[in-house]
Amino acid sequence: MPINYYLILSAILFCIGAFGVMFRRNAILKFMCIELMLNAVNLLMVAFSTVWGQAQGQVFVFFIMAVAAAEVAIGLAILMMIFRNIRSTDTSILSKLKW
Amino acid sequence: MTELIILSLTGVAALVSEFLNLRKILLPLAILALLVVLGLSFSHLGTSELVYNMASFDGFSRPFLMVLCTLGVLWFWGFRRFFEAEKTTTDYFALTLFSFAGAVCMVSYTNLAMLFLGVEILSIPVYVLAGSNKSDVKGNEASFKYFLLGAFSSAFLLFGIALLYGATGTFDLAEITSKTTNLTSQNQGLLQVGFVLTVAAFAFKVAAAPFHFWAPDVYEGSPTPVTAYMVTVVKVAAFAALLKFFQAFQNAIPQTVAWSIYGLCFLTLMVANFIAASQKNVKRLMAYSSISHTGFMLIGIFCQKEGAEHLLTYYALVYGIASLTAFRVLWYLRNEVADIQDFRGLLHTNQLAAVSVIMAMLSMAGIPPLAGFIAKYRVLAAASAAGQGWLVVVGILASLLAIYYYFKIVIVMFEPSEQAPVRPLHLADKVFLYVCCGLLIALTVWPVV
Repeated sequence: MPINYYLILSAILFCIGAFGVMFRRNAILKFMCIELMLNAVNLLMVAFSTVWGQAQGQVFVFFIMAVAAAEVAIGLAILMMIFRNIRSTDTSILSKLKW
Repeated sequence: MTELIILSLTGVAALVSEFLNLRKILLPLAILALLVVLGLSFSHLGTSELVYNMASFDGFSRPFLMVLCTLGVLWFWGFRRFFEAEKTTTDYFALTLFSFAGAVCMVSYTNLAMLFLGVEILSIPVYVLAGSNKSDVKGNEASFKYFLLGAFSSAFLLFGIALLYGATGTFDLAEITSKTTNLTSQNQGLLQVGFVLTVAAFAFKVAAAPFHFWAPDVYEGSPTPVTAYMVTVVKVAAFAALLKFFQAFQNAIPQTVAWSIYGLCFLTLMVANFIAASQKNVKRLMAYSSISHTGFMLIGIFCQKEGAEHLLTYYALVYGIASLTAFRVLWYLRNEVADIQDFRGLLHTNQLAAVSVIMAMLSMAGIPPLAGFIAKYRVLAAASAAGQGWLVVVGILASLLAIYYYFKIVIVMFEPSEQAPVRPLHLADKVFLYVCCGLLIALTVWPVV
């Protein structure tokens, strides 16, 4: 299969994720959308890695996975902290800081 | 490589000291580690060391390391009371030291994998530190926004890196540079999109307009010491990484992309200064001022062809010291929310603090006897040498606007005050302010690095 298919698929996935982060209200859904963006990148890395016939891109994917796990751990901790204070995961409540 | 090992081990030592009951020695230990790294970078200035083709400690990264360590030592010294919380001392130390290790990766990477890891190691501890005041809703919001936008921009960085890999088949920066010249037209397209996405991710990290909107919120909501850390260490590391990345692609950028990059500088300078002029909250004002300095540093990166690292290290050092001084006095006046009126009559109640704020503001505004003037002058001279005369005009207009809002703070300090006199400064803090002011003057006579 030509590489363009993978390129377009991962670009679409990445855009869905990016729009989700921007327009979703719920913090947990925002996190899921960020994961979607990172996994779009993973798909692209693996596809390019096969095109070039090397393992470099696949090794990079492991780094991304590990870092994404660390990031989600921190993100959920921050979310717990917020939930304790405002009893909600709706991010539109978080608008104390403006202009 | 030793530099990275020293800082990481000190971070581990900070974690271990929690149950060994060695909390008291952590501050001297952290400062000592930074001073050792500073000394190592200085004594090895002429040599270069390549670590497994992943990181390189050379004439580019060592000056940046020296600036980072100087700012780090000053930060630990000036904001040491931040670490005096009962239960979390060791965590704060470990988090800052680990994020410092990330900064070292970012200034010395030669492989894009190292760049990504450096960005994450630097950012993840700072997400936590931004929310270190757990019961403060504003702090929570700042932490959440910083995390969300940080992760968002990392995703863009990764997508850019993936496209660069697709175009060239390597993550090594030097190899990418050598392959940029003869590519097929499809790979050329991938390379350009990848470059633009990566630069956009960097623009998020250094808070350049139009990607700056998170910065004022995060800087205002975070505890003041953490804000000071973000505008100095985090920002300098991001700039070093951006400069290195940009230099690798210098000869492969098409004209349209170059113009949008100049547009980025223009927009950053204009947006930051116009909004800053209308601010009443000092922390927000300082946030916009920091965005405006981002604009100047971007001009330095994009216009100076040879030796931009000298220009940038100098600007970063001067700007960092002035910011640390201003934030230190701000923190001394008021722990959290800070209105400009908090500065009212400071000159009558505490002269040293007032004079150091005045010097910091004058230096940031670029008034001649202080180092900030030389820094701004060198940036604008580089722009004019690159044939971008209009950027010089924009830069000067931005500086004029900046004088207005910096002087708002200065003038309030001269007015008589009805407030009770503030508590006296601790001796170590007095020395801190003297050192910072001294450096702001001394750097004017030592500008040619």
